Amino acid sequence: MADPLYSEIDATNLESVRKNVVFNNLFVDTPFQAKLRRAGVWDPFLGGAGMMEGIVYGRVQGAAIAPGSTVTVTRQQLNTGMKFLPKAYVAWTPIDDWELDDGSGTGGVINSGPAMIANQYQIIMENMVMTINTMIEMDSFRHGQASSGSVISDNRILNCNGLDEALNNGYDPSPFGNVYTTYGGITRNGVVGAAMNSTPLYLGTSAGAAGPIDFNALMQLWTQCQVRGGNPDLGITNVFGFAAVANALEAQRRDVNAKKHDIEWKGLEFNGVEIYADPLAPSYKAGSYLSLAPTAGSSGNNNLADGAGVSTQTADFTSPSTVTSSSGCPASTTIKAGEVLYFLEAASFKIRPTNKKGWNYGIRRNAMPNNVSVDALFMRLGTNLYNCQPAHNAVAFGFKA
Amino acid sequence: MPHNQTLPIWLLLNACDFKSPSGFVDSRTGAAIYAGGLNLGDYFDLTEQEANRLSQTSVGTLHAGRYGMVQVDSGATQAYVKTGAIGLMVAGGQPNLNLVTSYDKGITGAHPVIFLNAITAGQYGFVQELGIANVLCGSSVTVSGSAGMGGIVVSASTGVIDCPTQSGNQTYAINLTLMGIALDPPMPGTKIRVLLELPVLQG
Repeated sequence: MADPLYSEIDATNLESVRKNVVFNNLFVDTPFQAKLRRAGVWDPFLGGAGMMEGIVYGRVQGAAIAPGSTVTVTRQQLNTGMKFLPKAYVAWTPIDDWELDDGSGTGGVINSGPAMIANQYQIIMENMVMTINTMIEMDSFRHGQASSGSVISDNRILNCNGLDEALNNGYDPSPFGNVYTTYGGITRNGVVGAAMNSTPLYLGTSAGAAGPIDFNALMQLWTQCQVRGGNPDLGITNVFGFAAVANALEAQRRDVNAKKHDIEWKGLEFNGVEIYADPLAPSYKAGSYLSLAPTAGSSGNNNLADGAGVSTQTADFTSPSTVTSSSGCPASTTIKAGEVLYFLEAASFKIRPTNKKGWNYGIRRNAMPNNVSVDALFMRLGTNLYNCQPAHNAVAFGFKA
Repeated sequence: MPHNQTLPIWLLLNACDFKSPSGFVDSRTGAAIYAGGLNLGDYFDLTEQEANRLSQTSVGTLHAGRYGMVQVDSGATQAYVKTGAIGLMVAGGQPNLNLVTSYDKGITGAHPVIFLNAITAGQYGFVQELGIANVLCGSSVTVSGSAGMGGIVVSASTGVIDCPTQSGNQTYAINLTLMGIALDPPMPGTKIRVLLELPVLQG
């Protein structure tokens, strides 16, 4: 301790500080959710035992036939339904009303008055929203099923039923190395046949190494959606995947005038698919620049995590023996998933937040009965995000950034 | 202090070495600022998943159990206040349960705790009191390897553990130093998981 305690400088000068400004050096944007909301797929969950989405998978009997013929008129099942459950996302922290005030003006002995630089309670609130949005964004690219034998390696039963399980065909590996034999509770390749199938497109080499992405790959991805009646209008990939796509297309572009060349690659449109870069979308390379769970040093919370405490960084996996020639993925091979690109029909998605305000970014504050100043604070969201027509969408992976 | 399941820890549990029990100190006077909700003696229980997530893995992965905020006595032998070492109630400082010291300066058998990380003598951090702890074996272990797994482990000088045999050991001596059951093969100089069998004491 200095003696005297304050120097003349310190006794007569404050530090220069801009009040109420705290720069965000952790969180990133969540464009996938934003684009889906803009597409109008926000469908509040009003309550019930789950979320059922009816689908048609079969047809009635019919044939070209000679007039006057008799037929045995039979009936078969034409339609069924997918079922999803609401998933609970919660962010929590203790708050001490000796230290900070919740806006009521009854607490915050320390963090208040003209000496307050920034409102710590507001920082906590905004952080909770961004934490939940980050979890949802990452989970949108993962799955929400239980682990299953050798085909699903990780248990994510509490998480959203995201793209990894939606865009699969029950045979080929997803970008995270899983094979999903069901979606929305419906068994793929059983009674419904290929109705729920979307074949992941592998762009790597036959030895499992990541390969390049090119114009042909983009056309193939678009074709896979179109041939099933889809109309892909939203492309999502990581920023590094976006760069790879931009580089592939730039190589084929020819400019008449290269003077004052304007490189404007904030968004790309390919055959009606508006491709956007999402920093939280699956990527191998992004992890070299973005702080992703579970690695986080001594504080443990200086990273971005999904609802299962991990991230969307892709990793090597061993492909199954069930692969199809359509995916191009070699069987029983160590695969480098690399970067991932989704061609999506936005209208085929649903975002299902509850309409109950206590669970729609609502706050639950529990006072500890024997503590003079500390409460437990929870921000809660009940929701799910899923796809009703997986075949209208497609995913490609295994390319280099 | 009460059982407190709602509290700040500021850093990961095995990364804390605070200059005050709250984790806050006045930057000018160095005095403790009591705010935020963390206090000396706060203790809480964690599930395996919670403990894993609150671990600095470069130091060690924590497991299910009871953790508490204590002060390390200023007279503790610093070299023995390290990850996996056993701390004890201060000899002459009894009956303070929230002040712990290195094994060589404590009362043998009195309120043993496990240090999660090195804590500067006189400063504050978290220790483990119950559950499954990572505990450091001595440089020699009487019954080592798979033969010792599932056996009892006892504390020994400098705050490490040994896996003894009954032969030649008096029962009261073993009782006095009993730490728990080895869940991994005891090996010299290594940290193994031990299911702690210690009395529940809070103060």
